[in-house]
Amino acid sequence: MRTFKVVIVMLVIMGLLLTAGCADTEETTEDTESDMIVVGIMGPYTGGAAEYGNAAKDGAMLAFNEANLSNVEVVTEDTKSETKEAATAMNKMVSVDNVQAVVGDLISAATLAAAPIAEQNQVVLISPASTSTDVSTAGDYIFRTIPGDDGQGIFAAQTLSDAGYTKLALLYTNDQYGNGLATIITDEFTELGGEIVADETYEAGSSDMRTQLTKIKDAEPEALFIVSNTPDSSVALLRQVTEIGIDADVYGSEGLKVASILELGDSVEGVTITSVSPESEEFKQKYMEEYGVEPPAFAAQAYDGATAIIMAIEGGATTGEEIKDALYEMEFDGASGHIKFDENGDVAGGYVLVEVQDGAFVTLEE
Amino acid sequence: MKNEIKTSLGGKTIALLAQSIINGLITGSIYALVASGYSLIYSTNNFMHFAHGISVVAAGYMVYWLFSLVGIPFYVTCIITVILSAIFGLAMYRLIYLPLQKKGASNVILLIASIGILTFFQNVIQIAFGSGVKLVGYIEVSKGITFAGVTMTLLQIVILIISLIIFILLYQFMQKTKTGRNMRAVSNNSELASIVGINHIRISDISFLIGSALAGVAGILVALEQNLSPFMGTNLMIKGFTGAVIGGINYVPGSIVGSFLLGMAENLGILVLPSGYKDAIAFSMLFLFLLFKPNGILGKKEGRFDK
Amino acid sequence: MIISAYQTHIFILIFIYIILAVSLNLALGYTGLLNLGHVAFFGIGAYTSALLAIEGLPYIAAVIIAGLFASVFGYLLVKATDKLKGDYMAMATLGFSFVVYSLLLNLRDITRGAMGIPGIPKPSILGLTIRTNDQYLIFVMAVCAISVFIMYRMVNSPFGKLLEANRDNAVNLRVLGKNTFALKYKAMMTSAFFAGVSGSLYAHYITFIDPTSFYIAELILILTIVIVGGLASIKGSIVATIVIIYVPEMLKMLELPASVLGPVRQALYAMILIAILMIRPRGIFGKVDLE
Repeated sequence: MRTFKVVIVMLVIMGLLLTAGCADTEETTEDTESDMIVVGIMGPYTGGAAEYGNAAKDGAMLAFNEANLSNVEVVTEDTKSETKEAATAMNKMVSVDNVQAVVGDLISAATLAAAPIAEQNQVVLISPASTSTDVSTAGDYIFRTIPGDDGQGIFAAQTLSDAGYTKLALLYTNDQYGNGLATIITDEFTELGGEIVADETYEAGSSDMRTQLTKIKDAEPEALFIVSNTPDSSVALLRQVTEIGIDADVYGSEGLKVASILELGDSVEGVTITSVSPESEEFKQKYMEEYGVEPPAFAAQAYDGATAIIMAIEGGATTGEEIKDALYEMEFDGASGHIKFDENGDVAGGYVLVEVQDGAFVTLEE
Repeated sequence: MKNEIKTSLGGKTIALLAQSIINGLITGSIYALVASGYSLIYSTNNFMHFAHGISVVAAGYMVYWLFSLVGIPFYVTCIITVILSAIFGLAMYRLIYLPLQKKGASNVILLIASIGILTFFQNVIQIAFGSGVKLVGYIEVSKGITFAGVTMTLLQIVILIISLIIFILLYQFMQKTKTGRNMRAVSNNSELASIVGINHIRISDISFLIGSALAGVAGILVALEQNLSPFMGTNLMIKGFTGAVIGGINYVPGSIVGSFLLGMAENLGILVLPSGYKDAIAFSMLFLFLLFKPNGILGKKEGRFDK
Repeated sequence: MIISAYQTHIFILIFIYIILAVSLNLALGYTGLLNLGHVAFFGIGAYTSALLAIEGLPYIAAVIIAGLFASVFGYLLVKATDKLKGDYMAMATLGFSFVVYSLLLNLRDITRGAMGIPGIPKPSILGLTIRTNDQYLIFVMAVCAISVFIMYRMVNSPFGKLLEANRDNAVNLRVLGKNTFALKYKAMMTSAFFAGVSGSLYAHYITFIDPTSFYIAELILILTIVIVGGLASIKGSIVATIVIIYVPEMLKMLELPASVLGPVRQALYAMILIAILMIRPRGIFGKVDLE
């Protein structure tokens, strides 16, 4: 029974320490209980998707700093793109920080793990990047400022078909995002009369896709569509496309729109990316002024997620429930386009083509 | 959109096969560079030094820092990197592993410690360099040279040649020099080796120095051939480790052969199977080899209990 | 409730990981099987239970089948690796973990592959559905107590003494006419069974699983718990679970600039881990060494 005692004592001590640790935040919330609203930002700040996570965090922070509301406090949590970490972070923010709304997570799996907790505690969760179709049905409190996979898939298939391609090769990361988008593109493109001549995948984070590309080269596609959501894989992949000498025109989903790929120089010239409507010039300027780089994918969406929350709070909402109600009512022109949440908390969002020209992402006119 | 006219279907298949074999060699050489240092350290120390992966990544970032940011000439950078890598490896042994061993820590504890070191430095690198992907940019990316339907870049040819030279030198060192023979003696039977007066700590020092210098070379070549991100060490290590086991983890030449074999198997395997199975092929090989040939292709027999 | 929802969550995780860690210690510490395949049993249990429950099977049946299914794999794994010595067994079982991960990812028709399984139902026992986390905490605590009690009795029984004798000197035991393989597979099957049960508890708690939840990060976590706690010490595993799960949460209370918060916490965690090993090189309550 000594073991039992040791365990109980430890649990109690740890519990007390945790409580003591949070005492700070609790006090401040108590002092100003009526007017302090806590808002969270969560995402992967370490691990393979960290580049996106940090960009989204920067985007959201930009909105909060600009608004500079005296009654809003911001907390951030790292979820390492792990589902368990996302659930833990959500729980921590809900009960320790007493958040009313959260911008995050990026990876769909993490968002889906955090969603039930947000839903149960009536906390708004706005994802700037999770495109899985499962997110639509995750609950009333779950929103996103990026349109789902079906939107982009249909747009990509339509674009490729309109451009006159009939033989398409797909190369995508073997995860939720890659599989989801690839399935929709396959269905749509075939329906439009095209043919998928190669269907290849790779592990997220891997850096050797030569044989997949060799098979693709062998299938002689007219265009290659890449779905990638880890920057290191994107860079490795685009480099190998050049090295192997694939003649097809290269397209990709918005995951490719990350500053790192521009370092590949001439070899990525002409790569075309189907991107959710581009960030406004105004946002681009602000972001570059603040962080010195062009806004990467999801920064504008995170900015808009934060803006939506800020607008709800400015409109008098103080609790998660009020923020949620305000979100369904609002409509505004954000950094990533026109924002209006439908009954699933999704945005319609338009898509554009972005091409790499002279080492920069340039939006093509319709 | 080009529409080359194919002469025959047969020619096409052979080209595909040939290209995949070359792809396997390129991949294999990277695995082998990681695996050789790892298995050198394993063979004399008998514990799994997973932090070897971070030596490779740290060396890559060193190249990025010295060459791309500071602007030191490339070859000078390479020399500095290899030397610092060797010292880094020695420091890990002297500051972490050796004190633990002296306190009687078992090999499993050392494995956990090595994972701790890996985690620590991954995050330190992220704090220092950020989470973005870095490219060294010494060689411009361009289409490879095509010869007989097979495409390969100049750098990849250089990597293959460098790996071969290193492996020959390493083999000569292990076979011909006194230190090399002592290292093999320790790896064969460390108790006996200490009875005949071989200083185990000195041998471990040397194996960490050389093994980590190899990690330095691997890091330079990975930085040139691929790109750098703080968390790439785990992936590199998993594949390097798998290659080492397939070839024989306690015998350096074996681990090199195993790495090339792994590279080949992965790349040829997905010609037949869907490409999602690439890692599954690697891991199934790892598992099956351990079950049926635990000492790998060339390794010494010590993996099984004698009945 | 007197404790916050966050603490409830952390306690639930702790109890799930206690089952997982104690069951790994049964194989690793008490039996001396260097098993790095435990995370695969955890994953197999989670997937089996989730898929069966979604098919409409009662929770009790789902969790028991999950445990049994995992334990079948336990038997096969120990049968396959029986001839391997320490380090090689570790590597082979590590390979097994990777293979299971690859299969979860690629057998899309069964596991939905990388898409994961969302909306796993909360358990319902004898007509009572567990809805809130507080109720789940009580449920997990009960399952944890029962599981640990069974394993505690097992290692303190004559059977447990035989296990330890076999670990320390297998040859002697064989000379005495004991079937050492039977000892090993019984221990491994029990270990895998409880890993499967904890997988089920995990899946029905988080309600979303995908293959990445059962890969190297998770493997490192449970192995760290058992090693830090000490081999062949149930008490050690329990205490270490609490420490290893709490430390990162404590680090969340540090005020850090948002730009470096993730990596600084993880680097600190790694330093604390190495420091613990330096101070207690056999783990907190460890008595035995493995070669």
